[in-house]
This record gives sequence, structure tokens and C-alpha cells, in this order.
Amino acid sequence: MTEAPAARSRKDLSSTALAMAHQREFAKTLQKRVVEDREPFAIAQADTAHEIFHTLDIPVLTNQWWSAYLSAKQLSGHYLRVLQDNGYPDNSCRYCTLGLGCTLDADTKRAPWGGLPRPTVLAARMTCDCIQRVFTHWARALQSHCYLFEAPGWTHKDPRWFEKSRSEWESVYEPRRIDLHVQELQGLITLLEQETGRRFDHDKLLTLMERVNQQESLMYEAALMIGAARPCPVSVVDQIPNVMIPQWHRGSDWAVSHAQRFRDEVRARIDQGAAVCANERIRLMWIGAGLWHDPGFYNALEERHGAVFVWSMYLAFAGPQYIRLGLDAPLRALASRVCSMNEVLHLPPWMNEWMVSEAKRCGIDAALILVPSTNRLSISGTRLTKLSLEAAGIPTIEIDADMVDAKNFQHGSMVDHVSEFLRTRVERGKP
Amino acid sequence: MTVLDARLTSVLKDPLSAAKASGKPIVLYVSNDIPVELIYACGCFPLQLPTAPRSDYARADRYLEPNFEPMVRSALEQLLQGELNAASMLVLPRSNDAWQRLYYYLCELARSFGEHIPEPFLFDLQKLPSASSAHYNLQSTRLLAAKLRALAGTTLSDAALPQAIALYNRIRTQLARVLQRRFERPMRLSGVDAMQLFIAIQRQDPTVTEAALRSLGDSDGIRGTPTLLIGSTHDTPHLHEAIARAGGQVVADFHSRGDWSFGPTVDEQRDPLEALSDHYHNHSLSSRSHPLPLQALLDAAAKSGAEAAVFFYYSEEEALTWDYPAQSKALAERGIRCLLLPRQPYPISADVEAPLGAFFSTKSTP
Repeated sequence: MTEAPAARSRKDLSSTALAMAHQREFAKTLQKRVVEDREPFAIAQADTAHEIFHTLDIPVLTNQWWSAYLSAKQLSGHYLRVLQDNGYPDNSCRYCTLGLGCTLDADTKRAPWGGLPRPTVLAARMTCDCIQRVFTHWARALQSHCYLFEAPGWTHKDPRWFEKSRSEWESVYEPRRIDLHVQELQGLITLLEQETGRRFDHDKLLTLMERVNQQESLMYEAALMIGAARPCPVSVVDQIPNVMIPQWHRGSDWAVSHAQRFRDEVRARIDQGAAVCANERIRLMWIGAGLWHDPGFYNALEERHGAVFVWSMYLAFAGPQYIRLGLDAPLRALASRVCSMNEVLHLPPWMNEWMVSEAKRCGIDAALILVPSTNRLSISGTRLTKLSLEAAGIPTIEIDADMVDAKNFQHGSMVDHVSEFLRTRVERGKP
Repeated sequence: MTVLDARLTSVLKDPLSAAKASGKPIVLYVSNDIPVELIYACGCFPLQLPTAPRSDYARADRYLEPNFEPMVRSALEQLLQGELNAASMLVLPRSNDAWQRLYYYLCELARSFGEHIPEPFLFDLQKLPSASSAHYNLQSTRLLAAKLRALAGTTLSDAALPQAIALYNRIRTQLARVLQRRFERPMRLSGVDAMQLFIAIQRQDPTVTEAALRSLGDSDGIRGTPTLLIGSTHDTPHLHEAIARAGGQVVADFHSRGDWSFGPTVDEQRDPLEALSDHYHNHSLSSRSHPLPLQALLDAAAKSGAEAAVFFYYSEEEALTWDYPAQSKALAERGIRCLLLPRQPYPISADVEAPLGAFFSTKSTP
């Protein structure tokens, strides 16, 4: 398998360069702490409570970030072959399995950082039926602990969850689900204390939660400003690194100050009348994970159609899913933050109601939905969301692609495909 | 010639016949991790979703993305076509990812898309072997009981649930006795008959099932290489037939609608709701079972005297395929030959005949 060269994207904000520089520095620091200094560290899924590790000053390597990192190094094809050579399925989710492939490859020369050493723990929430297997195998290969969280059902289905989740999180996310996750988090804390000899400081967690609220409120403010501004001052190309890089470090001094820097730069661009595209005619919504192997795709329709990607979940998510007001019980608030991350992004009624609401808020003309056919977790809810958006008057197209695997993705033909959709479904209806 | 009598073959031909004749509220359920005892004790008729391959999935495909397991697609099409409207409720399991996603889809289809379907209910069973999960499961079992009582308009008497548990335990015992005929040589129950039995007993009234199991006839001289069937769930005996044609004979069905349909007996000495919650937490096989029940597979292999194993996975299977390396290695170490059939269509294709034929015509190496 040959991997298509990634197209570069255009970044407009100085904050973006700073965020990316910070992440490069963080990667070096993380590598030093983990590989050279052999500090305790954790491998964790993105939808787990990283705040627990941050409170204990345990570095976290986020699995999806590591997958994107390996993919960016053009290693995804090789590591998928390694998995198959070990008898594992060839239709496995690339987003969660590349790290296991890297470990099983055991090729220190090929692997970034010379491969990962033994972590203190590998932690995952069982949002699908495969991840427990991936993490169990990975923990065995790394001779470490696998700590799994249940992903219970969610029968309190409030379609307007995003209006209440910041302050009414106890009822929105169901007390008994929160109870369960709190007990599991306490179990993780006990394991980490035993493994590292450190003591978990609940006051430190409270401070961290307050600072996360501060950070996410700044991001949410930026999201609201971007949605209201005409023309769009900041496309998703700049939004995603500015929200996601601080998200990996949420609550840290740097993350809070960067959120403020980003919010201020967004405000300044709006005040200056700055535009992503001078001739903005179509405002687009990107639904799903980022197209990490072809970020240039997001700029490709600007010249041809004046089409700007105004919205992606990453920035918009900061408000409803991260802010938790009322921190009398910080661990409960934290549990409510992480106990439904996949559900609100990939299941009805949460996904489709939120997408329609966000499309209206941002004046969206058309939506693109990523439908990674190898990944049920990520493809779920896309058809109902498409139907809901179409019913709300938003033309919507499915993009059959994977987030980290460039196989079967052709930049030019995909741009042409979307271009044809915009020409026939969107431009035709415009004055 | 099947050994199943008319009490069982009738529900193979008309899956809803016994349920409709009962006059009770019909409660559809998906899988072996739903407490059928509770449904029955509350005065309802438990009927396993009678999925089957279809020629057209147009209505389901409007809402469902392509990589859901085929039985989920079949069920959604049945529901949208109104074929199951005689039922009052559908209980879906949290313990399988695709089915739990269908629960949310069904709720939304009823809420926002004007579809008329039996009321969906999620039985929120967790599978990690922890005290917190066990506590959560007991709450979930109580919630299901309350829902069923409201549906049937009855109270759950002190005697009803223990009686239902005892009845299903007798079925478990009788079923285990019957299934042992596959372990004899020559076998006295074919793999096809066993699979049909698994299907039929989930559609018949349990009192009728118990009686039918007690008087089930014998087959003579069933032959073929004793074979374990592992992997994706089956709702027809088509693969069992293909294996038999190729020279094999299924002697154990290691999938969720097979030998693990009911699991071991439920403890009748404990509080009945607690006993049920514990049983389905720890003794029902699902794609979320953790850790991998490798020993249970090895026990099944030893008990059944299997000499071969067929691992069969639908194209949409995401989870169970991860278990294949460890399972096949463990079986191979015990001298059991393994055939892997990945990425298979639903229903099974004629293309499966060739690899099965080649596999069963090859003698095992000493």
C-alpha cells in the first residue's frame, strides 16, 4: 500500500503557529519524560478523564493523538500490516489500533521515539466492543495494566442536552451513570497511587476543574463569535489546533493562556473584518473527526466556490461537553464530562439535534459528514443526522474516508466530488 | 428429517404463532443477555427477535449505516415493515455495541421520523467483572422489572419470579441433556437440529418448550468430523448444513444464539432479582464479555470431542475477530484444526462450500 502525499493546509492565525510549536515542544518533553527519564505515564483514549492523570502529574499519551502522529509519519500502512500479520482483523479501526501495531512491530529504528516504553496504565472507555480487546492486547504486549471503564446506556435522552449540560449535568447525564463512573475513577486513582507512590490531591483536582472551566469558556466564547461573524474570520484549519492542542493539556497554565490568546485573536480578526476567504459565498460544516492525512482539503474549495469550513465539532464541543458549573463534587462533575462523549457525537437524538442547532447558529449552507466505513463507532448516527440536516434545509453530503488512513482517498477526486455537490445542491439555490 | 416435533417446527415456520396464541403482551428480546425469566414472570410472552436474511433492506438502509451487523439490519427492516407490530415492546441489550446503537436509532425514528414500532427498551447490562458494574446491573434489572410490570398491568408476585427461574432452569437442564447427544459417537443429534432447537425454544412458550424437550426424539448415525462453530451469531442453520455437506458436523455452537443461549442454571437460593442480575452479568456470552472467555471455549471443545473448528465472521464483525488469534492458537495446541472464514456475507454464500470442502477433505496431521 502506498500512501498518498498529504496536502498542506493554510493557517491564518499566529495562535495556530504558537499552539503547534507548543505541541512540538510538548512531544519532545513527553518523549524525554517517558522514554529517557522513564517517568510513569499513561496511554489513554481521548474520551477518558485525563484530569485524573494531570492531577497526579502523570503524562498522558492520547491514543488517537499517537495514531495521528504515526499516520503523519506515513507509518499507518506498515502498522496495519503488522496487525494483520499477528492475526488481527484487517477491518480494524485505524484510529485506535495503530499504536498496538507499532508496539507489536517492536522495531525501535522505525518507531517514533524508538517505540513506547512500559506505561503505568492503559485506560479506555468501552465505547465500542473492540477497544477492550485492543487495549488488553496492548497492555499485555507492554506488560502493563489495562484499566477499562464501562460505557453504560443513556436512557435519559434529552435532545436539547447542549442547552443544559453545563449547569444541569447531574440530571442530563443521569445520576446512576455518574455514580458508576465515579466509582471507576476512584478505582483508577487507587491503582495509580499504588503504582506511583503518589497521593491524589482532591483540592488540586478542584483547582484544575475550575481552570478547565475557564479555558473552555474562552473557547466557547470564540466559537460563538466565529459562528456569528460574517465573513468567517477563522476556518476549521485554524480552529482545530487551537482548541485541540490545549484540550490535551486542559487546565494547565499554558492551555488557559492560549485559550485567551486565541479568543483575543479571533475577536481582533472580527474587528478588523478579516476573512478566511475574501469572496465567501458558502459556509460549510465539517461533521466528524478531522481528515488528518489531508488537511489541505479544508482550503481546497475556497477559490473555486468561495466555500469556507466554518464549523467542526472540536471548538463547538468545548462549551456543552467540557464546561461544568457547580463544582461541589469535582469528581462527579468530571465523570459527567467524560461519560457521554461518544454518545453526544455519534448517536441520536443528541448528535442530530446538536448538529442542526449548530448549523442554524452558524448560518451553515451545507454540511459534509465523514463516514469512515471501517469504524462503526465513528460512522454511527450519520444517516439520521444527514436526514435531520436536510429536513432543516441544509444540503448534506457523505465523505467516505478514514481519519488517519489515506488508503482509498484521492485529494483531487474528492474535491471534485464535493465541488459537484456544491454546484448542484448549494449554488443553484443561491441568489 | 428433523427430530423436532410440531410444537417446535410450528414456530420455525411462523415465528409469532405461539406468541400471538398466548394472548399475553409480546415482549421481543434480542439476545441471550436479556432476562427472559423476568419477562415471563411479569405475565408477558418472551419472543426472540426472529431475524432472518431478506432480499430487500431498503427501509433499513435509509437510516442505518453500512457496517452494522446483518441481523441488526434485518431486525430494523422487519420493524419498519410492521412485521412485528403485534409486539408491545422490544428489549435491546447494552452488552452488544451494534444492538445498543439500534436502540437509540429506534427511539429517534419513533420520536422524529414518524415510524411506528414496538416500544424500545434498553437493558443496561454491564460486563466488567467489578462490584460497581454488579451494583449497576441490579439497578438495571429492577428497572426492567418495573417496566414489564407497567406493561402487563400486573404486580410481580413473590412466587412468580422464582417459579419462572425454576421453569427456565428445567429448560436449561433438559436442553443440556439433549445437546449432549451431539457428543456421542455416532452422534444422536445433528448440528442442524441443534441450531433449529436453539431458534425454536426462543419462540415457544417455555412450558411447551420444556415438555417438547423432554420428549424430543433421537436421530441415528449422524456422522461427520465433530466441529466447533465459533464467531458471529447465526439465526439460521444454513452454515451448519453447509458444514455437514462438506463432511463436518457441528457439535458445539460457540456464538450467542448457540450453546450459550441460556447458560448455566440460575441460583434458586438467592434473592431472585439479584440472582438474575448476577447470572446475566457473569454467565451470558456477549461481544463485550471481558475477559475473553477462552476457558469456556476450551471446555466446550473438550466436552464435545471436537476435532475441527470453523471460525465464521460476517463482514461487519468488528469485535470477535480480535479473539481469533488466541482462540485458534489454543485450539491448535489441543490438536484441533481450524478454518477461518472471515468477511462472510449474510446469508451465507455458496462460495463457502469450497473452503469447507477442502478443509474437511484434508486429514489432520498426526
